[in-house]
Amino acid sequence: MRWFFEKLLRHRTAFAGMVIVTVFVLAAIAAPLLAPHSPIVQFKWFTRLAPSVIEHAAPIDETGQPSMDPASGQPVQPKRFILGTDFHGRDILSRIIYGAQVSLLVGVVATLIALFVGIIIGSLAGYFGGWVDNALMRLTDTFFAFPSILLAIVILATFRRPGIWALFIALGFTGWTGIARVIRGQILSLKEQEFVEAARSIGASNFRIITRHLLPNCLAPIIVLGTLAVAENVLSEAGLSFLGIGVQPPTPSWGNMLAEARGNLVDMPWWGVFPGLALALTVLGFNLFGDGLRDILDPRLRIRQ
Amino acid sequence: MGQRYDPVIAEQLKSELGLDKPLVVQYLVFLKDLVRGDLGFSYIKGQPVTQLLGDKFGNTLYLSFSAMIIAIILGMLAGIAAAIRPQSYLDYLVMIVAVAGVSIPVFWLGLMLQLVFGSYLHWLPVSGMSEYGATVWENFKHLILPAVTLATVPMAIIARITRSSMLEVMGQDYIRTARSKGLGTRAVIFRHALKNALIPIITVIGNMFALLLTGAVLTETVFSWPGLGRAMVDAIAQRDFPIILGSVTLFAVTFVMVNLIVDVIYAWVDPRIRYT
Repeated sequence: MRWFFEKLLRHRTAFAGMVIVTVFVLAAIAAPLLAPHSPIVQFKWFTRLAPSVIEHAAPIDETGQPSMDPASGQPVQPKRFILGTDFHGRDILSRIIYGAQVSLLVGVVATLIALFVGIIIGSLAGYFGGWVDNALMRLTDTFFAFPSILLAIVILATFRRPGIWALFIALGFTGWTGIARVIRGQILSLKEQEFVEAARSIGASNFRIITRHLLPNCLAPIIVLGTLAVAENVLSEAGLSFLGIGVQPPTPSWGNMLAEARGNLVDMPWWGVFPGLALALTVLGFNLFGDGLRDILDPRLRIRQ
Repeated sequence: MGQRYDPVIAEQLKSELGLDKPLVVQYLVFLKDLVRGDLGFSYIKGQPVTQLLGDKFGNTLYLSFSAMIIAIILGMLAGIAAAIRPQSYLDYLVMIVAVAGVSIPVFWLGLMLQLVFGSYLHWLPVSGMSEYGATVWENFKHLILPAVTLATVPMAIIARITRSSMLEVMGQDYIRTARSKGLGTRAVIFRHALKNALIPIITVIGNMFALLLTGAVLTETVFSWPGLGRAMVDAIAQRDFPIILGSVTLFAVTFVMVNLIVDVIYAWVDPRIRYT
């Protein structure tokens, strides 16, 4: 364990990636504490404001009196919007912070589903070989032959109301093919080794050999592929939400924020620039971290996807 | 169909569209029509799907191939330049751009390019494709932004694989032999090294077409490019199932054909590969 962290600290890009990922994960977890405003409340006196660190003064009505908030009966307080507000007066910074929750949740859960499916199919195919291997690998080839995001679009199109659950399913059950292939290859070479024979000679069951002896030895590729898959899934979630078949507004997601901002970019560039920056940074972080982990843990694993 | 409708008309419509039959039968009917090149009629427009998607398919291919050419030329040049002097500033720059290129969301990049080159600088049209009969230059101007956007990811991946493949080849003995017999750097790189570094690059380019066709869905939506991807997204919003099915089928067929062509090219480039 120690050599791993020492290597990680010395690998500059991997370390940078880890820092970016950590910042976004912490922001997502601590969103209620960090976000200055609610992500869905529309401040109707503060619409279309440009980014500014200066507090916006309390609005005044036609008679020169401070505007009253009908909900509370109190005068509207001055407010600060660091990254500006959108067309409806929602705080963009708060929406970006809460958007991190959605993006990372979809990215991680979809990756876990893909890992689960990929590991089961890969290990069964590699361990049992023969017709099991043949059948499972032809299934994998079929899925692999089809661009996975296109498959995800088709799955989402069948949902009447797509949402976060639909995204878990659509991305999780299309992204497992690469993982299955790598795990199969690993198991194929591992199962010929003596420790497997030793385990079998003392009467270990097939299930026990796979879960206790073979899969722990596949941990390095699983971690590397998993990290890179999170980057891929975060990007796919944003793309699908941008197309309107992913996370539905008013739930903030970086993808649907960009879709909303699309028609207003000339007047309100900040609405589209910042969510996209957050998205690009997050994906960059996971990619750098994943590439670095590959260099450290498993230099032979050079195939992406 | 809205909330209020006549149930008699609904039944009539269902039987007209064949939706009253079991799903298996509907699928078999779809397959039977498919082998005859018939993809049915659009629910919304009432026209044959093949007719509606025909032109759009051409536009998607036009955009994808333009993007591929940009990606191959720029990606390979960047990769070769980086490999000639490893660990130099140029090398680092290429590697950074390559990682950024696969991390940047295509549709966001498209929006930003639109904003800068279309809305602020007014150099290029923001969206759409030129009308039929427009000049070549007009046509080209509409193509640049979407093609560059779509080319970003493949370009980054090609630059990366070109660099690593070239570096591997440059360490081989025959390169030293070529150098020692007095050949210039350019001849060594282009005639000896590149030729042998080409096989992994072609493999990656072949796999890249899948990425490109799916990237087209997002790029076409951003730039209002009248292609297959945008037709599919619009059809999903309108729940026009024959169009969704038709566009997915077209995508799948193209994809399989491209893979076949790539396999043939492998065998041609690398005589060691034999298909039996």
